[in-house]
Amino acid sequence: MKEILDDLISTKGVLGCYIVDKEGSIVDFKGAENIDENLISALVAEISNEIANQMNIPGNFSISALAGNGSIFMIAKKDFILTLLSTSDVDTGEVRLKLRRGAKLIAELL
Amino acid sequence: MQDGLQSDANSLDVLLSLADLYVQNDLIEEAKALLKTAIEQNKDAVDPYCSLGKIYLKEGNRKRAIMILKQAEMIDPENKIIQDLLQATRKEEVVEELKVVERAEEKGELEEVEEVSGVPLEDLIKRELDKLLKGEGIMGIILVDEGGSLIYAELNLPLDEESTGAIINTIYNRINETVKDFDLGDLEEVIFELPGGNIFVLGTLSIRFIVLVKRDIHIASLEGEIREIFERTKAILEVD
Repeated sequence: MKEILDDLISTKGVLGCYIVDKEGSIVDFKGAENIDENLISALVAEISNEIANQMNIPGNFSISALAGNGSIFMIAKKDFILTLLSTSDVDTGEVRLKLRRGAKLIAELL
Repeated sequence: MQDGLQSDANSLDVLLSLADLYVQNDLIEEAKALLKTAIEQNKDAVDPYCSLGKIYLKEGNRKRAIMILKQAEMIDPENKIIQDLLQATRKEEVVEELKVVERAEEKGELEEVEEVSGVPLEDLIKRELDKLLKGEGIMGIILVDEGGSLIYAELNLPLDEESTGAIINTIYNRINETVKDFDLGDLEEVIFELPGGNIFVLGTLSIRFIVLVKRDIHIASLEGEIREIFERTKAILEVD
């Protein structure tokens, strides 16, 4: 799992990547020290649950949220959420592709 | 002098420089004639098209500007100057229509606007959004305010417009809060990739522009067009 996170964090502009379970607990992460991993895991799980409840989509979706100074990407699978924080100059196509590949590998591992 | 330059120098740069000089000295008709000659002699060069397009734009001759710039676009579709000029022609269109609305507002004749311009605000929005709806894979568009109240919707799906807009707006606002928690600035765009299709949401402080797209459509191919229509919708609604 570390290898998957290493691959994600090596992408230019990526500040941190996090594997979160559906309850909002961190499974594993790699990222800048100034980012509170517990805060991001809780918020990401909350958004995922909101989508699950409001849109009636229990899993298997992804979100790319692009803001002025950075972005949040997340892929939700049945048992976990893989999420990533980046600066605004990140290559969004590359990140999406790597996240998809990473999520698939994590699903096989868990 | 013009004939001499054309036959002796036969240089595109010289023709363009001379046309520029004519414009600076208000010899607009002479500049236009020279640029038309430049186009005839250099059919694959986009610069004379752009210069001529700029003149038509300055004159307020939007139709001719679009016509000439569209020809340039066919030669070089990726050219940023051409795209910027085409964008300017579209802004001109919106500005013209907004001026009519503003004039009527000043006179307290808002209800007469529809008769004066022939284009009510809702129709202006509809006209913009219809262009997007004709695009391949677009299943619907919902425009809501920051509170989730419906402004406009057109869906080719069996969904309730109001509740769909409100739900997506709620989630957008939640993500916006999270983005702010991490000092990432103002949220501008969210793309949801869901099992049944994709949802684009472009937002400002006051509106959410929601576009529902089929799952098998490549996102990157639509992003530019959606952004462009969003910008024009913002101009119509006068929101930033």
